[in-house]
Amino acid sequence: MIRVISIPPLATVQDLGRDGHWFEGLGRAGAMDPVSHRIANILLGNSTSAATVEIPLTPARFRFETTQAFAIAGAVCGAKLDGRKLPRVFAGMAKAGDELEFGPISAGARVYLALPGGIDVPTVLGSRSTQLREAFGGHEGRVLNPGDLLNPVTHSDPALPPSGLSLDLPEFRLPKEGEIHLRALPSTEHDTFDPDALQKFWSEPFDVTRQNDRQGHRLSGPELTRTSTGELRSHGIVPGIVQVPSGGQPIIQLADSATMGGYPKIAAVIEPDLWRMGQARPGDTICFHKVGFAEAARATDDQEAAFAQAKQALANVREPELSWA
Amino acid sequence: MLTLEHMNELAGTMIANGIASLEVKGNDYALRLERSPDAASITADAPGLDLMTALSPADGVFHPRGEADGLPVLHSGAQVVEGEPLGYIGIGPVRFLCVSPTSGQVIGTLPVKGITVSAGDPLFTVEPRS
Amino acid sequence: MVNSSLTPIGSRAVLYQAECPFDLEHQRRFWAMADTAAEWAGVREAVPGMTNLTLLLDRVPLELDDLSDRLDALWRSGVSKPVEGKLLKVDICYGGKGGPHLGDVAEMTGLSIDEVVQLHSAPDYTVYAVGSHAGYCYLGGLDPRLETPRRKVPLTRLPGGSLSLAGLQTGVSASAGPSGWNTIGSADVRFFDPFRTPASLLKPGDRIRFCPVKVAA
Repeated sequence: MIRVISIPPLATVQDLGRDGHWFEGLGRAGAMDPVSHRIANILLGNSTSAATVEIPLTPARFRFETTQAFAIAGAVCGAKLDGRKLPRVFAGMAKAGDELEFGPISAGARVYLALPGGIDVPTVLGSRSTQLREAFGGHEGRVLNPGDLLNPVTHSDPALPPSGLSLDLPEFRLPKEGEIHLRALPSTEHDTFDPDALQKFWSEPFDVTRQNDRQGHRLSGPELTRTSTGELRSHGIVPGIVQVPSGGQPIIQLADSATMGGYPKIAAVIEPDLWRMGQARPGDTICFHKVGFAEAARATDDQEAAFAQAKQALANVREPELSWA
Repeated sequence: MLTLEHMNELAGTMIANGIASLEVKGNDYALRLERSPDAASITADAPGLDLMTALSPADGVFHPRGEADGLPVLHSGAQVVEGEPLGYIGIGPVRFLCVSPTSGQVIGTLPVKGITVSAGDPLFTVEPRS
Repeated sequence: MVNSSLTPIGSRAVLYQAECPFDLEHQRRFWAMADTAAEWAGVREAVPGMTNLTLLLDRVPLELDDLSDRLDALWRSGVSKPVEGKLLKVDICYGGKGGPHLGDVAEMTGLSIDEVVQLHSAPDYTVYAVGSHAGYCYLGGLDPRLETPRRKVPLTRLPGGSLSLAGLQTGVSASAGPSGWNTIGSADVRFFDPFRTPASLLKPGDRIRFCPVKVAA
């Protein structure tokens, strides 16, 4: 059990999101960086559906009310347990009374905190994610506040070496120097943009602006003009869609995306690359790379293979003959 | 594990550096090496330092700190606190943390990236803060 | 020959559009297509937009040709879903604090406030699509005399239950959020409740009638 001592606004409990209610206009919510969320869970041997705490911006402080295992993954944020520095990705034991601190972020944008079995919040419409706009799910349908208590789903801790564990997969490292590369498919109105605008879109960097939240990121870069005009009829949109409103500056929809929209769509970022946007912050740059379905499918498979590799590697070191206990 | 060979090595290091006593802490044991009073008298003017050693927590490949872990690169002479990660032992993508046994200053040469180590191998020497 | 397109909007999401007028007759065909496509293997959800259809897929497709042919065939078949769903009567307080732009709409349309309310509450609106935010209904049937432009400065936070209009569209927000439309009234209805089954109060084909209970300038 951990208590929130201090927390930035907009920290929420999230899992991989809500599926199957899109037809009712309900977006999927879920972790903005599903990779770090999953790594934190994998380190504790949690299931894919376990919930974590998503902490943007930092600083934040938690106190362990009981001795128990925990894991963190995501941004570089000067994490410390009881005054001891922790690596960006870490699983270990905390003693009752220990404080877990996250200082200012120096790379990335969000930290994920996992407890054994996941954060214990009710499942609503098939998920534990906080639905901020509709105010349900997660911890009482709201952002976390100081004083909140968070319980693990299971009260037995996974076997962990006394000094703790980390994981390092090249696929899941934070982008170097804040340079984020996103693979994207040309979307519905792609060919209605000026050839010059298209050339720039696929080759020049865009800046991440301060206008960003769980719903999406507004980017700034070369102006993207269209050869045709006219209003579109409202249609489905999903996280990853890159829309270009009349100002010519793109917006990427993310985890809390609306389900329908009406702006021209230049491209669609492939799902396995979306986690990088969850770690994007003002000052970072974005480069779009045009791909087709074949590469999108391969990237999806590669990412799942990396998760499987991480799980297998952890299972191997947990085998009794290699036990550290 | 700590073998007799390691202890001979440590004793050699102690003699070479005029160290009177050395404490080695593992996860579930502590070992204190002291030079005999006769031998110690030879270097009577050397300070009575209790150097401590951070041991490898597992068999694997050594990875230095500060590569993709968000922590600053570790240099000899750095001040560290007890429990702070000094480096990692990798088994595939899994990293076991090698943490400092005490608060103080990291001294001596640091392990080289990529070397294969065994559980219990001494990796870092830390001079406790007095 | 069908003038249609099937394009990616995500690595596992595609949008089908076919050239057609924007009216109830064609919308009914997209409702029918959504019902059929939702049963196809590999389709997670099939959701009608405004005379278009979005499919969420289980896996990343390797190409779209086959899916595109099947959707074209479905469109050509002309299958239609002539639902007359339930009629929801919604009490509306026009104007006042919950409808700050009622006066602006009267001015923009050259109508009196009473005429705006009368024209707006006259028809039974049809739910064309549900989306944007949970439980929100895209309605068809607004009187063209009430057509107005979007606001230059959007409201950053409009409470749930706000009745707004812009262009030829009107609707009631189901939860608090930003809006660039003209807000002319408010209602006390829960359009979405996660603890109700189904969670969304209305679905495509249902109808809404707005009943003025109060009009304030």
